[in-house]
Amino acid sequence: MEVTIPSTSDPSDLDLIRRWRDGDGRAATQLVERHAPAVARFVAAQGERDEVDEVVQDTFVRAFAAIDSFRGDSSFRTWLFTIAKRLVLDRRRAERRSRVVGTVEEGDAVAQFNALDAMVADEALQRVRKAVESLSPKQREVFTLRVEQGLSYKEIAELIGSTEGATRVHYYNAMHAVKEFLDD
Amino acid sequence: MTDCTNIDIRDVLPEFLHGTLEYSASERVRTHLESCPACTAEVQLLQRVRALVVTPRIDVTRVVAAIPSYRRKRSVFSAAMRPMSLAAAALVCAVGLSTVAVTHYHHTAQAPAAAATTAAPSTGIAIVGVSELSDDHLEQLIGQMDQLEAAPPVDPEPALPPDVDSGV
Repeated sequence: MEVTIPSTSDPSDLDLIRRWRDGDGRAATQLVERHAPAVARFVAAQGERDEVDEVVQDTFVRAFAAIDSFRGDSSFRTWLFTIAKRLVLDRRRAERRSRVVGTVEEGDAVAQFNALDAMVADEALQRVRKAVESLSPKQREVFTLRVEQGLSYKEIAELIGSTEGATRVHYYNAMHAVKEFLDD
Repeated sequence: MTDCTNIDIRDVLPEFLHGTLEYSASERVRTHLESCPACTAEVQLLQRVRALVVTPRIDVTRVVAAIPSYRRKRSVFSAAMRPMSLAAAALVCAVGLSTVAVTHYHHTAQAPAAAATTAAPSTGIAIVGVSELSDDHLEQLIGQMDQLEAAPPVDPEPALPPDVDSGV
């Protein structure tokens, strides 16, 4: 199985942040290139369907504007996800104020999977998609963050406001549920 | 198929898939997968879940162009530490709001006992309360302050009215 191992010569996120503060504009480009795809996937998974690129852009703008408040306790990517999640929730609240929207936050994550119907032709993939859809909202959130984004239990716990232990339990329960669904 | 009982390996399968494990840990997982059908099936399942994800295209150039320039935040502390003229300090002392003064003294017979120690150097700086200074030293301090440039006035000096007799 092919494994991509990050090059040891790649500067760390903290190095790039320091360089950007010192006036190196290319450092910002490197940070965006490194994290924008993951932030985009995260935003899409949160149910933001129409303006993913706008939310991603807003996320980076806010992150860089508040860069001095990034203490490095969590990873830079997790910090970006926290900002993105808040932005998505703010947009959803604003939408609810302007018109009636029947779905809740977790429901939009399911809708995002439904949007993939046209693209997922393989039957096996369809079954996996349905298995993930059948998970509880919390299990689905933890499972997708772990599998699709590769976040650690600690990072996921920080993001969703839970504990590492509870996050781990959600993940294994989700894995068990998906396997049972596929075995049926 | 029953799950593998090796939780240490199962716990890092997502990291293995993302290629974020250190080389030695990655090799350990790879070796385990060669003899564990349950973990191999789990990795294949994780790969299928990842395949469901469509990454929306993001215009990196547009995002970077929107990022504001870095502005170092000024701390309240640094703002408060703007140099103050000694005349302003003297004003504070004069109204009795401060009880601390810095005095520059010379080693003389008139040196106040309260402000000097036997081991003090011939010239030095000591921090003493204003009330502890002798009359002579207070006079010396006030004399030094008189020689200092006065602080600029807060308000600009009023413009002089034109000379009505100049005929201009």
